[in-house]
Amino acid sequence: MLLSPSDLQILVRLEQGMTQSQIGNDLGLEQPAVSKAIRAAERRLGMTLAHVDGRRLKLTNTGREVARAAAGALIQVKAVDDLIVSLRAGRMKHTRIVASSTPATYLLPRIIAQFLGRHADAQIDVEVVSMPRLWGEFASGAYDIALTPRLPFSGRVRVEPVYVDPVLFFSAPAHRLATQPRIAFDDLREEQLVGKFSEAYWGRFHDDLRERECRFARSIDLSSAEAVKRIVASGVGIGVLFESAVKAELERGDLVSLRIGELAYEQTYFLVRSESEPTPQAERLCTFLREELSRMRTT
Amino acid sequence: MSQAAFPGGLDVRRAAAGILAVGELNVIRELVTGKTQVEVGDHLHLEQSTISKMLKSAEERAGFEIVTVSGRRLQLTAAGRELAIAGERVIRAFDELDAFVRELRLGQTGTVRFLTSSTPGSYVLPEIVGAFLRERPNVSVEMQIMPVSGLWQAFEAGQFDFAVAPVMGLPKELSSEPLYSDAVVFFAAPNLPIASKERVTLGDLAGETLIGKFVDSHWRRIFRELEEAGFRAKRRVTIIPPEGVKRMVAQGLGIGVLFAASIRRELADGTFIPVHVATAPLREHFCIAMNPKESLSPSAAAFLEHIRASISYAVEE
Repeated sequence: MLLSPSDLQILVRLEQGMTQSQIGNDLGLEQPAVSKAIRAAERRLGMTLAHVDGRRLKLTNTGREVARAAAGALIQVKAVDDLIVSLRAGRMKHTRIVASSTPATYLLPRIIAQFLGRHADAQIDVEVVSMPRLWGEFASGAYDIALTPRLPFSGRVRVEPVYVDPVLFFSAPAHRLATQPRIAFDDLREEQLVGKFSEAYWGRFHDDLRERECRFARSIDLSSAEAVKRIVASGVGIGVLFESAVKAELERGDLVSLRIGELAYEQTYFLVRSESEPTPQAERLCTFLREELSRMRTT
Repeated sequence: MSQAAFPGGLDVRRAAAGILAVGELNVIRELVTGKTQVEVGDHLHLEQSTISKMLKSAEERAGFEIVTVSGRRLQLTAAGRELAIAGERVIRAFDELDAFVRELRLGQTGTVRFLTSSTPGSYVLPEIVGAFLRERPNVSVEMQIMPVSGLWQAFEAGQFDFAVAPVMGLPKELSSEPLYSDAVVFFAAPNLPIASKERVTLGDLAGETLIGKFVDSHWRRIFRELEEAGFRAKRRVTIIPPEGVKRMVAQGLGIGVLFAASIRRELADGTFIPVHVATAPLREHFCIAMNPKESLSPSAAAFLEHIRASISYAVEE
């Protein structure tokens, strides 16, 4: 190993612009130890990593390249540390899933409940993370499985599409359009559209409706699917969410689905795992998720 | 990574390097395949007693059992197996980093970042960059082309490996080496009457409209040299990009003035005719400039060698 984790910590901090003194304080090292570590690493590598500029130690372009490449190794070191802390806390058998809000709220609970029913000793944590943060969280190594819409997947991961969730328009059963078999765009001009439009997917969806000349009198932007359903159920406007989020209300008759012109949208969810060997429980859960999501899709 | 992330009285120095050393993780991951302690020792060139000490020390710091003894074999506990999987990722990441560093040292990977002015950037260096990238497919080259007016300021601010630019205006704190010199060429559309003259005097030229990049400092100097030789222009049209100069000359508007490198192809295919002006040859010298405090990365050094080998300083007429 040409560079130790300590060397990498120093390089990454120099790249962040920290002084030797700040790095020393951060890592619990004497200040001269910082420059000594760098000089020793330079001797091993045969390349100059840093030079003194005034009173500061600054990375050379080579040093910057190594520091950037080091980040991946440090993430893995941190993942081991996180695992140890987690194992110490008695969470040894936990399988950790990270998911975006719709699958975490409406797809996973029932499936995980079934899994736990079959595997009494299994322990599963599901964490809901917003889309912009989701990939960074998974890549940190803190999770075994991710269930997510398409993201810029990278690194050594296995990605498979497991579920397609159609977009559904819906209203209260008493709504004037609820009984129409197919609604024309012109019928919507006086209506309010209720959805989660501040989220990236729904923002794009909203723009696309406009491009297709499908115009509503007003949009009501809410941050949660439950709020969208409740406001629509109270008779206000037409709601739009993924089918999985309104399935229960449709089955109960609290809401009815609407067919608007030829509009058809959907979201594909992907099951993501590290290519590394999973724990037996994570492997079992992945297989179960895949089977159950496939069954839900076909039914 | 802060101390607070490691409860259990860990010393900060250890936390900076990770709770477990990479060597300890290496031993743990070896055990996942069911090897005996002897086999692990042989594979990693470690004494059995060393392995025992490493595992004991790792267990103390982790705060839980990592292995159990089963006859002559060490078996990983459930927690140990999880650690072995995570350790495998760590070892692989460090192996990848080592491979990257070795490639970096050989100049076979990494990024070369340099600044250049428009003529070398658009007409001299692209083919050289292309040939270099074919030789070293894992190296990236970021070539930023800038007008000379803002080039040195950008160089100072931008962590570039080097610059290729006119010698004129080179800041004195940078070191430089000559790279090539380029002739100033006067040219015209074939149908322009002056294009048919074998020799054009400065007096003839004074009746024409000159089209060129006269705002750049080195071009201003070239123009001053012409004026010192007695030239007075009827009209100057200034256009910054060389391609703009060429398009305007192609319209028959006047005589273009550019460096030979940027007009070579059009002169060869007859799009333009060289106008031979009776004056001392005008030239600009281009150099490689570097910050003497910075050491070049191996890939940047290799690229500079490639540039030097590809460009002759000998005058190209």
